[in-house]
Amino acid sequence: MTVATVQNFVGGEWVDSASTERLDVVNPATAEPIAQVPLSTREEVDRAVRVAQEAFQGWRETPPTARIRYFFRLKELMEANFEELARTLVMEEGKTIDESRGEIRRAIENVEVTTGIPSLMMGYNLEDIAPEIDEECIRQPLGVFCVIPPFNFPTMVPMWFLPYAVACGNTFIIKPSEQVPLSMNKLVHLMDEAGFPPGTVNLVNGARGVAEALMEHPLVKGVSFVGSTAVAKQIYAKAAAHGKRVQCQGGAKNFMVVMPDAVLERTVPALITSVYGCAGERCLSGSVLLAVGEAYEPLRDAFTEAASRLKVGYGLDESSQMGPVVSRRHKERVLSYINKGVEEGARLLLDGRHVEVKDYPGFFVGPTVFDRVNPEMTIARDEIFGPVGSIMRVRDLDEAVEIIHASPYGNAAAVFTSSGQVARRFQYRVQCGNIGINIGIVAPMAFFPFGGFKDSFFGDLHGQGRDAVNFFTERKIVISRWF
Amino acid sequence: MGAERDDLGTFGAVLRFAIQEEEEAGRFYQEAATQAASSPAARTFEEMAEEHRVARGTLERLRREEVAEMILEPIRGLSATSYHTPSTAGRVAGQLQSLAAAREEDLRRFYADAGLKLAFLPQVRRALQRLAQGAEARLSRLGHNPG
Repeated sequence: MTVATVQNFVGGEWVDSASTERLDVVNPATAEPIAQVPLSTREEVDRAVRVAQEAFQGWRETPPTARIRYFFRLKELMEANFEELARTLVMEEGKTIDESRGEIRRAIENVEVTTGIPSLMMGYNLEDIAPEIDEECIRQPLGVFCVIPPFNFPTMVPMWFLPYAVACGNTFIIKPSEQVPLSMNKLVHLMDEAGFPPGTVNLVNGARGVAEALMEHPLVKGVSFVGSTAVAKQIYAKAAAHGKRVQCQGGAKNFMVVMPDAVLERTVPALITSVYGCAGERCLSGSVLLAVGEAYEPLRDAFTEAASRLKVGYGLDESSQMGPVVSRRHKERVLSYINKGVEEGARLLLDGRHVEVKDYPGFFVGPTVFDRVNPEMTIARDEIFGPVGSIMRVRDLDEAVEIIHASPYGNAAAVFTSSGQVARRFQYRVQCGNIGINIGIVAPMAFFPFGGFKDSFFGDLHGQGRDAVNFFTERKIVISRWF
Repeated sequence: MGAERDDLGTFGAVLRFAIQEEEEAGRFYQEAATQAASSPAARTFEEMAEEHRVARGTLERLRREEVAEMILEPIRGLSATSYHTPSTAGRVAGQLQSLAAAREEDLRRFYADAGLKLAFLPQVRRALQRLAQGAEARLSRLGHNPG
């Protein structure tokens, strides 16, 4: 079967990459190629950066009120093409159509927030800092920024950064994940339709080579990355070494604490969504359930029963509650973790290794539940990024917090309880960037920064909200006196 | 995996079913308007067709805007077969009112039940309650306006 090769978008034009190297984009449910992605060359990256740099001056001089009109148009176009964007996401990434709609909604929310840039970008001032001398702080854009996003949220993650950067007056280059370039391609088509001036938004397809060329390019001012911790560390070091601003979101191992006073009938669905939503391929996925004291048995039974009822299938089938993982290689990785859990002595209550979906030979892994897990086991320490939940019994909240803090990650943690005091102690003490109180997926809204501590984040300013505005602007101080 | 009775086990499946039912109801009333025995009855059916068109738009907006990625929880115990009004092909003009009433009663029950199942999404629950009230109002009107 012949499939199309996605194009790059540079300087307002859709162009074929000169590269002869291509990778297949595979539908994770059917295991069939649906497109090809070129591994663009270093010269193509250089051209995109130079085009973006040329566009910068005119764009930064465009009044913010005019800049945000492009985003109003983009929002309307995204709403009008909502279902098509969501369906594309299902076909390239594997998540369910509901999950895809949720992702597109998140992307739109970021566009909506950036339409407030004229207010968000304001500086501040003070008269008479000395006799007849005033001081002001002005925010200014810097130039060309880029994003290197992961495979699991190919539309939402770039939109944690792009709208803020561009609305602030910068120009931008997206390097989509080579596994899932299609939804971003569609979104950039909508940006083209919205009429963004040539060079303000550019897209260069590729893999590691393109990412490295962007990080090393002297005209690139900053890099936003989301992916694994190992790669985040490398990018943080490399981009910083080349003098860039850099923000890198890494991996996670998220613990969900269930207290004996938790409302179990509401807690279990929240945990099921957290652990198995997006087939566990989410940096906010719950991974280890820490059942405190008497919560253990009823939680174990209810959670396992609910997990066993999840319908695994193709995401375009609306009745599917969980889709496949993204690739054959990733499926093998997840299965190796399940095997490791068995080898290390965890009790497998629900085995997702042999799940089959009629008519779809793709990369499905069924919901899997491990019990009697201890903190030393590999499945309790590593980020699996698959539909695997582990249950651990703990004495009390203190022991739960100790286990959370022993993890090198600090992305998210949640507590399920009816006690305000317990909830307050949890949010006060736990060293994670995103804390859930009776919420299993602690996904910050567009007007808040997406948090992350320890090995889950490298940098100081996060994506989304005011953090993003700070990241994409320089603060200039002006002190003035008139004679 | 997944019991048959739970075939509306996701937010999207519930909304898609509702959208399809509204589409069908709209078509039914448009056709009924051409077959109605009197012009007041035809007008009533046309108005009802329009109400179903608006309801469909509301549901599409809900599906687009109220999908809360944080709480996409599985839904249990909601099956399309309990609410789907069978095809009305071959009906005669004298049956229009009773067929319409059966359809509205199914919709009313569906929206009431689905609203409870989606109680964790208060905006959606309220919208579904309003749609149930709309179906109930049409039922009442059908009682007073013979087709």
